Amino acid sequence: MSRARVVVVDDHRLFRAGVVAELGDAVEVVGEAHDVASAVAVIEATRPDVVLLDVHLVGGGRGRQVIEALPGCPARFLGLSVSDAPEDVIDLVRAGARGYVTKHIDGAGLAEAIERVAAGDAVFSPHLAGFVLDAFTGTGAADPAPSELDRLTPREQEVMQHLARGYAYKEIAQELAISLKTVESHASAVLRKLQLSSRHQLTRWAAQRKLL
Amino acid sequence: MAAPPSLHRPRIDGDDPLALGVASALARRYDVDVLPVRAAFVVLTVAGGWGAVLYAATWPVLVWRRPRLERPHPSLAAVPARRLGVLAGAVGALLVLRSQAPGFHDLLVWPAAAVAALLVVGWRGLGLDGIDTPVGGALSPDEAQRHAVRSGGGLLLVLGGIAYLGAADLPVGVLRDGLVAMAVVAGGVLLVFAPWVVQLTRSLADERRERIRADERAEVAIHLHDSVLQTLTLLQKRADDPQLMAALARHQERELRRWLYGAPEPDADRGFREAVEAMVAEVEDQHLVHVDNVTVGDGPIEPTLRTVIAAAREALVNAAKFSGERTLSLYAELRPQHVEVYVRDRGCGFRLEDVAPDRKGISDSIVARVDRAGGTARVRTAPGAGTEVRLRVERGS
Repeated sequence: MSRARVVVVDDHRLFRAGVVAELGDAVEVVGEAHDVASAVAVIEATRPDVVLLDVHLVGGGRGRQVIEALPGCPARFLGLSVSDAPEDVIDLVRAGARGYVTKHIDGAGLAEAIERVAAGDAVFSPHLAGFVLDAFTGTGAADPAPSELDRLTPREQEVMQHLARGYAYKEIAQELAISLKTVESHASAVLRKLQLSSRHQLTRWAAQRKLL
Repeated sequence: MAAPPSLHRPRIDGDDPLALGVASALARRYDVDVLPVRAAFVVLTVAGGWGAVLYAATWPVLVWRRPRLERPHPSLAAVPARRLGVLAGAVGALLVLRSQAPGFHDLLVWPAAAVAALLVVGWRGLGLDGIDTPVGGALSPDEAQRHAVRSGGGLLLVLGGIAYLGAADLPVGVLRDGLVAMAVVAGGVLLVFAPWVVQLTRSLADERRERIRADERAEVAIHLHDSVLQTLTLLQKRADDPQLMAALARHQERELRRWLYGAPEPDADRGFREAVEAMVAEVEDQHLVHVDNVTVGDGPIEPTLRTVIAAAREALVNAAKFSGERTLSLYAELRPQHVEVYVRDRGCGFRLEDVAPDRKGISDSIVARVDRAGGTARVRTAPGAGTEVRLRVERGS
């Protein structure tokens, strides 16, 4: 597979430089941007495979605005932020990002995440997996009869738990004695549920959680 | 009582004379339970004084056999056939005496025989020797049933006796004699049982006290290990930084004072999530590591959760000190039915059996601690494969 073409959108120039250096030859960085307008312009001009997208951008802009400004864009978005606040994470993922990693991740991990997103799979950081478990199986939002979309299957729950415990996809496959492909499809299914779930309160719930 | 508490049921055996020890000596000599022998003496004494005569006459013959401490083989009285034999013999002797000897009024002999029979059969059959339940402990269904049978039987006997007396239309003199005789029998039974009951109660209380004391000691040891010992280790490592040393010492002193003098825990009104976060922050500060902390679910903190968090803290500290990794993972999941915590590192791992027995981190601070809270702790590790500690405790509703 050819190297993924990547655009890095982040409000800190130094951080962008750091990401580019960390990724090295693993991917091809075709553009950078620091706010919503420049990000939209760069993405439309370069047609990247993957966009690394920060939650907060210069001038109070939000990452989700970039995604919303580009309907039908073939590029896949991967959230990348130092923020672990649940409302930021959920916000970006519900807007359509294929995954979310925190800035603690190392170069190799980030490169792997980019590849995974480029291939159409979902990327969960342990935190995102934790939020999903909390939102879908927690006691806080107990609907009397949740629809299929609002529930995780036992296997999906298991996969999320392992992700939250810090396991890589490959390790989960080994641990649960299933193929890597199956793990990936479970993760994608969970991501889809997160994005399509009728739980409108998801984002509100995430916001409230910060106040706890 | 000086004797150390024992896990075995205390029993009145041949080495525990009640009066002169004749009955126990006989029981030992012929390898039967002492209780039927004593019961027989009581009955015979009531029934015309024969028992007392027999007792006095036997004493000089038997006294030389008294000192013997162990019982080489189990009591044959435990065998039902043998017990029935004793019962049959006692009933037969009573019948013979009733027809031959003076002073054996029916009114005395039958209640006495009934009591003796109840004692002989009931001692084991009704589970009288099974009263071994801890004070305040719940009874198993089996025990409860035996309790019911025992109480029911006793009540039936009392009611039967009263009905019998009422229906017999006896002259006042005989009635009085009968009541006196019954009182004497009751006194005899009391005499037989009282020391045993007292001893049982005492040793149960002792055992319980000892258990509580042992638990407390373990708590203290664990607490000291987690706090003071850990801080001392840190101090040795950071000996070149006087400011940090002073800060650590101050922190430890505050913490120890709070613990010793019972000031409320600072996290008394914190939720589970917050308590985990505070614990993680503390470990991160003290050991200069990064902990990827993912917590699912939240709820008010309770003793069980505090225990789990303390054990998780110990697991994190171990990982920080020994794994060689600077990034650790913690996943805590609080559900209505259970709480589960995973602490994981991708470090060097180790062989569980290589841990020296005097290293108390895993065995005491993690495993034993979670064990006491009714949960399980599992350590999964291998050299080079990292370490994962899993803690799980079921929560009462």
